[in-house]
Amino acid sequence: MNLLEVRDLYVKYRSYWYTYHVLDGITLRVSPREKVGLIGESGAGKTTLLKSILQILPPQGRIVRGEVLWKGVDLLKADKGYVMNVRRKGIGMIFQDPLSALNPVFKIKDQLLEVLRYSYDGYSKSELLSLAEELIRSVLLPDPARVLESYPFQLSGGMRQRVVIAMALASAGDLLLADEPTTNLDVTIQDQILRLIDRLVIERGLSMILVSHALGVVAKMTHRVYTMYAGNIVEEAPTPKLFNEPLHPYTKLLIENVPRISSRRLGEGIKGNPPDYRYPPPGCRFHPRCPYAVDICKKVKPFCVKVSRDRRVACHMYSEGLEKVDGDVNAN
Amino acid sequence: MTSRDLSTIARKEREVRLENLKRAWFRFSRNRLAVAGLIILTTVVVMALSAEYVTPYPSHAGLYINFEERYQPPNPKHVLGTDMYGRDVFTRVVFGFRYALMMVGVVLGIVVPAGTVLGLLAGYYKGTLIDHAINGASEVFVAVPPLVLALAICSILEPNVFNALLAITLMWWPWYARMVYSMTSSLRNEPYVWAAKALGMRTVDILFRELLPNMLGPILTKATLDASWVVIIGASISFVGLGAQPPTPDLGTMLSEYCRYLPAYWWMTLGPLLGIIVLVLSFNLIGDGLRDVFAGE
Amino acid sequence: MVEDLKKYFRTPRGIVKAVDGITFSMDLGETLALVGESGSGKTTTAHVIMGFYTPTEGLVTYKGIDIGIPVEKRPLWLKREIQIVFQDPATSLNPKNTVKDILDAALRVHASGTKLERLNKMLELMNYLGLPEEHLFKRPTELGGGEKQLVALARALAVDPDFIILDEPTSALDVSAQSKVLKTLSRIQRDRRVSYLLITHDLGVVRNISNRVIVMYLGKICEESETDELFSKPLHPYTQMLLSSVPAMTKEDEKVLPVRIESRGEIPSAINPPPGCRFHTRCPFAMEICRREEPPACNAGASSHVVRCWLYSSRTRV
Ligand SMILES: Nc1ncnc2c1ncn2[C@@H]1O[C@H](COP(=O)(O)OP(=O)(O)OP(=O)(O)O)[C@@H](O)[C@H]1O
Ligand SMILES: Nc1ncnc2c1ncn2[C@@H]1O[C@H](COP(=O)(O)OP(=O)(O)OP(=O)(O)O)[C@@H](O)[C@H]1O
Ligand SMILES: [Mg+2]
Ligand SMILES: [Mg+2]
Repeated sequence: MNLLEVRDLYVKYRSYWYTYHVLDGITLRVSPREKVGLIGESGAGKTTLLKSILQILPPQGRIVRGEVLWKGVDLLKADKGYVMNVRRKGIGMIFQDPLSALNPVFKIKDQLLEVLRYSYDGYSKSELLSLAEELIRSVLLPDPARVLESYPFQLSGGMRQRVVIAMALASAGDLLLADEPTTNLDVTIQDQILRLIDRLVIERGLSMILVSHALGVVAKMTHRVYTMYAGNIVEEAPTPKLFNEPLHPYTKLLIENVPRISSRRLGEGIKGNPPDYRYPPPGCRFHPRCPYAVDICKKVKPFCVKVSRDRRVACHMYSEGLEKVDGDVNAN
Repeated sequence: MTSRDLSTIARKEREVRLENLKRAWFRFSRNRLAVAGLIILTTVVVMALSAEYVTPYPSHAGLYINFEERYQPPNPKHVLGTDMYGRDVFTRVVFGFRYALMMVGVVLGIVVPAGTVLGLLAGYYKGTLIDHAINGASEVFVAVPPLVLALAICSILEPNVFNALLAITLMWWPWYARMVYSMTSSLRNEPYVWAAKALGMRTVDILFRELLPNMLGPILTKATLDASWVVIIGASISFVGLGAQPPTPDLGTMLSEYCRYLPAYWWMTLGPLLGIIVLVLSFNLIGDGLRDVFAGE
Repeated sequence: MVEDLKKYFRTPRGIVKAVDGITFSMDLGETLALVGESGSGKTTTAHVIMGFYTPTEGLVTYKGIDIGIPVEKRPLWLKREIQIVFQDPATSLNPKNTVKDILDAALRVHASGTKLERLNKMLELMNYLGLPEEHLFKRPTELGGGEKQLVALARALAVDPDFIILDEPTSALDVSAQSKVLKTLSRIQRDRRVSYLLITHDLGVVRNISNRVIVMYLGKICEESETDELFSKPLHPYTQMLLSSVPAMTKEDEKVLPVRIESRGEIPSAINPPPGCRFHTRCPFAMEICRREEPPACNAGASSHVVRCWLYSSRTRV
């Protein structure tokens, strides 16, 4: 059985006058002990998706319809207590902005203890404190004692990032949602942290959804990758295949634009901007920026087709003669 | 870029402002009690401002004697009855609102800006002489029990409304200074403040354009909640005879005059008491609503 | 430009030696990349140059003038010439101000024209960076992480600086926006000869836009070289570890990376840095002398390639 399955999820943000149709029918699944990557431009709705899973969207956000199945239970219909319990003990999330997850006026110690108190009820304060120190050490921070006594601004960006990782690990029982976990870290620490996360995932039997703009990290860390564009999943493939031979035009462009260490050549960026979510383009949401767009792309939304045993893509170029598939049809 | 574009942009800006206001109102309006408070307060303010026209006997506000009609219990002609000189209690309470609101306006009008500016300065220059001077001064004032200080000032100086205001103002500013101080000293390390410094923005601009907007929520909420305290303390000072003097229609003064006629002529006390309760309640309800507005941002 | 700079922080647990004697200089119009361990003092260096901290010891000069003074005391022209883009866009933009307020504040300080002219400049800038016009009245909280960083960049560019410190300018951007920004940065540099001090962890970015690289470890410089030379011939074991830790995306990338030196060991504390070479605790080639004495600066390979490591001490010292 899948650990987490998201089916046909629609999420919008409402302001007083406008409605932003952000997530547009997301379907994805995560098996136990599986590491899944999620890539896509800024504004594609990746954070929105992760927040919807935990139901911690800002007040303007609304889940329109869809299902979020956690071990078979639909979290959107489950009662508050259950969801709270999943948040505290089942799913841990590493937030994207390390500072907004940390309150500037409290010491790291107090904030970490706050989180630990929920995940380890019945522990005494001193036990929690040593747990906290343990956690800080486990994310390779030197001087756990100094870090615990510091306020967020006294730590370097990378140190704060690792504090946030430590906090997320405290509440991840089954699944870790990592939203840009290593952006502020240098590569050697990144490498160590990634190996650490890898080890924890194996030791504790965790699964993970990894969101990152550093495609190299995704390539190295995950089994399977979803490409997301403007609230749609446009491609799904096992990691090596996706990076070495991407199918969807968007994935191709994305990969071409990564600055490489193997060559001295900068990409041009993808022309145009992500769509205005108030009036998303009809048909394929990518068509205004797609170099291969033809007439049908402007009118009909491409559905997900299975192009080979383990690859799916939502693009008219590949859809001829193939049948529509849904997320739950092809569990491996 | 043509001027037409400029006007489009200006229109867009107004639209966005309006939307923000609407959003704020939406959050406020979801708190029914706060809306009720706002309606009550608006009514009170309008009545107080036009007291001469909305009250049945405007001349009863000050010195006026009509022994024929004294000690009348509430009746259709005098909804809150009349007092020992035959004055209409309702009329006097409405005029009393005027004094109470004036007191609130003057006190908060001085205390909030002054406290905020001092707090901003002390927090921004944390650890310097400015900080120590301001915090030292505020500690002195905080150490003296508020009512005692107010009473002391009013009894040393001449007991009148002005001195009562002075007393309240003196004891109040440190609370704002302290609140703003603690917020400033944490916000001043935010990168956007550093960025503003790096750009060469003037300190005044950093204080008022960068820092202040981030604190407006708590300040306004506190000010509204405090308004009710100003009403109560103002009334207390007058009640003990150190504020406004009879025949001024001040709620506290009236209370102290009338309570001598308890319990027989209970309606006389009831009038100003109700007046105070209405004010205190509406300020508190609005304060709660504001808290919701700012919490939702 | 920076000479034997030291910056220590006093904390309740001891003195943090964030930057401990570094020297480097920059030419007009060049891009110098500063890479290294997180917590090695890169941001601190940047902040000292900006005047957010005053140096504990050492000299910072800009165009021959000593600028080791707090930012508040600097003359306006100096502030205009040196700008910074911060690491974390979420906190470097005031959450209560709209994008228009933020850009306008920057433009107003340096007295550039009427309201209309400022607005034009703003729109031009936003266009330049690929920000849609409708963002003008949004607050930072309504923007995606990438968009926020673009606004921060627009704010720095608004005052036409000569020298921009980029503290991880693209770590929050997606690949497409990153390409655009890097392209834009190169374009600006070509047009106006601005210098960049680029702090980043992304060696792909370093490789693609910088001329020279300085590798820092725990408050000290361990290697300094031209970019191409560094990537083809990394000398310091830490640099090698750095390069071999880069996650390869495709098979091509894998080929360029040096033989894998697995990153290991705990990062030592900046309060009590290890004696001798600071890297010895994690160095796979550590020798006896490394634990005792600080390594000298050696010149290996190209004339501009300086490395501080005992492995190369037999070569020419500088
Ligand atoms: N509270 C909000 N109100 C209105 N729109 C919002 C709100 N939060 C996010 N959005 C919009 O929803 C879209 C998706 O945002 P989201 O943060 O999920 O993107 P993301 O893929 O995580 O991007 P990034 O990589 O930059 O973090 C963006 O266009 C953003 O502007
Ligand atoms: N204001 C401060 N007070 C005390 N210690 C500080 C302060 N600022 C930085 N430090 C310490 O100085 C050291 C270097 O920090 P710095 O921010 O310069 O690192 P960095 O190289 O920029 O790291 P990163 O790549 O993670 O951003 C860290 O150990 C940090 O804890
Ligand atoms: Mg995000
Ligand atoms: Mg830094």
